[in-house]
Amino acid sequence: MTKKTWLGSAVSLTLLASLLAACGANGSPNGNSNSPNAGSDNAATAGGTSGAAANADASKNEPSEKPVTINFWFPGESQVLEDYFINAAKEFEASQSHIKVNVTVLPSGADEIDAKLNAAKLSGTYPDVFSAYLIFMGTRGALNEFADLGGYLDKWEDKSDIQESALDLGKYQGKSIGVGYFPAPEIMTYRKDFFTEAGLDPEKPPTNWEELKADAEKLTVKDDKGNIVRAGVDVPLNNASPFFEAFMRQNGSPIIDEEKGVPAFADQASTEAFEYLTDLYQLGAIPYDYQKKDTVPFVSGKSAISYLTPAAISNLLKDKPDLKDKIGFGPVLERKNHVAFTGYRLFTIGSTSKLKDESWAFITFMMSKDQMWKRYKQLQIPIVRKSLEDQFIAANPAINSVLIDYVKSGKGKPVTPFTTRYNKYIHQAYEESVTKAKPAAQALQDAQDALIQELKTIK
Amino acid sequence: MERAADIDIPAVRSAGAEAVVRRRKRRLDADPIGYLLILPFYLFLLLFVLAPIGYNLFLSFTNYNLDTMHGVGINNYKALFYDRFFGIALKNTAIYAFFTLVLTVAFGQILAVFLNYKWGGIKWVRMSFFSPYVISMVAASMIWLWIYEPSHGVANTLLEAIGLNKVQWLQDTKWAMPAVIFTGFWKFLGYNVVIFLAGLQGISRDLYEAAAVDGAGGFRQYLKITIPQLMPVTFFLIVTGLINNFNVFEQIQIMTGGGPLNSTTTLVHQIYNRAFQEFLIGYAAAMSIVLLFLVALLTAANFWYGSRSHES
Repeated sequence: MTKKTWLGSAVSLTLLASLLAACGANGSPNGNSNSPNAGSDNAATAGGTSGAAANADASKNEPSEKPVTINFWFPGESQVLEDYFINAAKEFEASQSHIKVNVTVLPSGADEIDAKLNAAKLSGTYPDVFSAYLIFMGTRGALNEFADLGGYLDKWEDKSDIQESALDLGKYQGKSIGVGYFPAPEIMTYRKDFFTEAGLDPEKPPTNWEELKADAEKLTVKDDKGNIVRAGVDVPLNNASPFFEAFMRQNGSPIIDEEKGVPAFADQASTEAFEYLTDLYQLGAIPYDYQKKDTVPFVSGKSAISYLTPAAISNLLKDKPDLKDKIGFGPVLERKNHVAFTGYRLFTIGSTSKLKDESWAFITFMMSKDQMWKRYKQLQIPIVRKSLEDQFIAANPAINSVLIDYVKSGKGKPVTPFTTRYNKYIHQAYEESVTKAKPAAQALQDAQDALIQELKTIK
Repeated sequence: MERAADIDIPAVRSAGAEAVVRRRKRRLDADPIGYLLILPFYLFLLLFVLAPIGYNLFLSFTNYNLDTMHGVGINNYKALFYDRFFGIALKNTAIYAFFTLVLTVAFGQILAVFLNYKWGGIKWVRMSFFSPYVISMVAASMIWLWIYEPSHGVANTLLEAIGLNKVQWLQDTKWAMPAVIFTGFWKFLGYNVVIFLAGLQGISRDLYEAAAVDGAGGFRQYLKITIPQLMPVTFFLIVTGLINNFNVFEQIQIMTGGGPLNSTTTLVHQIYNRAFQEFLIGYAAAMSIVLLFLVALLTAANFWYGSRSHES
């Protein structure tokens, strides 16, 4: 080979090496490649602290007065919610001298959050504090992603002031891994003007299953061809488990035996609940996906009764202020059990966090009376402190007296490692039932058998 | 002549191996810069394609769940036979792939023939057919979600205008898959049209003139000249379309979430759910290996059929 060829090769090799080195170089001037904000949709450092410095401090794991930065992730839902958390983090930073908070806003969908958390877990950038949905207590709790908060809770002087349900929901297999702070009950919401139009008393919403069905019949409006113009009650078709689980539980079904960890929804109670909901659906419901809140018929005036979260009600009233006096709220329906569906968000600490003490300090700040009341005032999030109950009801008796009952009697998604798989089968059974593809009993039995079979074979 | 028994086989093998090494060295010496310049591509292929496939194959024999990992032999593959969703997804994927492919290739070719004529504003017409292809599938799915909306959607408004009843496009098991297929057809038709147009413009005019002299009409020319001359292009579109259609995911995830009653769930949708919603990474890896072999098999069958057609 000639000298020229070798020289050419050497130059090419150098160029290639430079190219690869450039590609691999860290884009961050401080070299903080582990920053969880690197790939986040919307991130803000409340105090503007350098992520590199923070991580360097974090690695030392010293609960001292040296400046440290904790990473806090929460699911976004609206600009108001995001603003609240970012401001709260700033207030926390101002309240003491050494802990900074790196705030990251996540997408609101559980599946999108799962994707983010999976990536964070695999890259070693799991957040210190994470605002988790209730479903994560089982699905991600089983993967040991959350730290045991038992020790912190035992020493926390305010523990006795927190509603028991907010603490119980954060337990997985007896271990406390989350502290509930954001109840999201599904409240019966109805249009008073439609009630009047149908000849019903607008101040008397349905109080049990029979009344709901009777009212729904009277409230359903059809055109000359028999097409539904307005549904009596919203009965979702897809992803509707928060909706129908409330009916299953009200009728006495345990849905899942959480102690034994086995499905228990193919029972008489669930069958009756599904048959009842099938009747409601067949009255003339407008099918929609329960997870797509913007498609709820009630929001566009196409139904008279619906189940909505406080946030959805608040957004509706903000978009259509003229509805303020036309909307009423119904109680938890009476049946065998006094129970409603209440979704929850909980504060958790990542099991890999090296700043657990600082993270707990942030959680206790966020659980303080002051912050809880701010959350109610700014975001209409119901309170979970017993000492705030009277103040909460007095602030808006019309809705809050109803709301507090929903929160107290609220039960969320079953906390099991297989909740996602359970969802798949129960949604199928529900869809089969309400569309009359199968009788309710058969749909439930088939779903339970298939789930048990899957849990045995696919591990 | 030397007898076979007298030949020193190890020595011959050694000499053969040395010859191979010498030949390789000669090739490297002949053009080291060339090899060096293609090195990044091979490094990329190794790091980002072959290594992940190998790792995925390894994972398919484990029960990895993002927390723990144990070997489970071929249990994941055995479990596929008991997984009703896998069977449904396989069937749905085949239906989606078949209909989307047939529609986009058939209509793509016919449209390309019409768009190959020179008439006023033809560039704009061509561009309008191609424009859906450059839109992201996520955006396109959102648009079609709005079109298929049951109470106020454009599709049902049109049906009502001509006196027909509304259809629950994405909520009815009968209509959900056709609705998703139509979205795919709308999205990919333009790409096929453009490729067919390029193929058409490569066909010599002499062939058509000769056929016309022999008395062949337009339809006969299309059958006897256009279709055979477009065979390589058609073959390319079938192979790439098949691979794309087997990987259908975004529109399913956004428009139907696999429902109603799993009538639109597909293989990739199931892989995603199993891996990232249910944390059954090992099992999902087994599913993706099956998908890989399925696509490879179909592609190989296409190539075999293509080469046979070419020879004949």
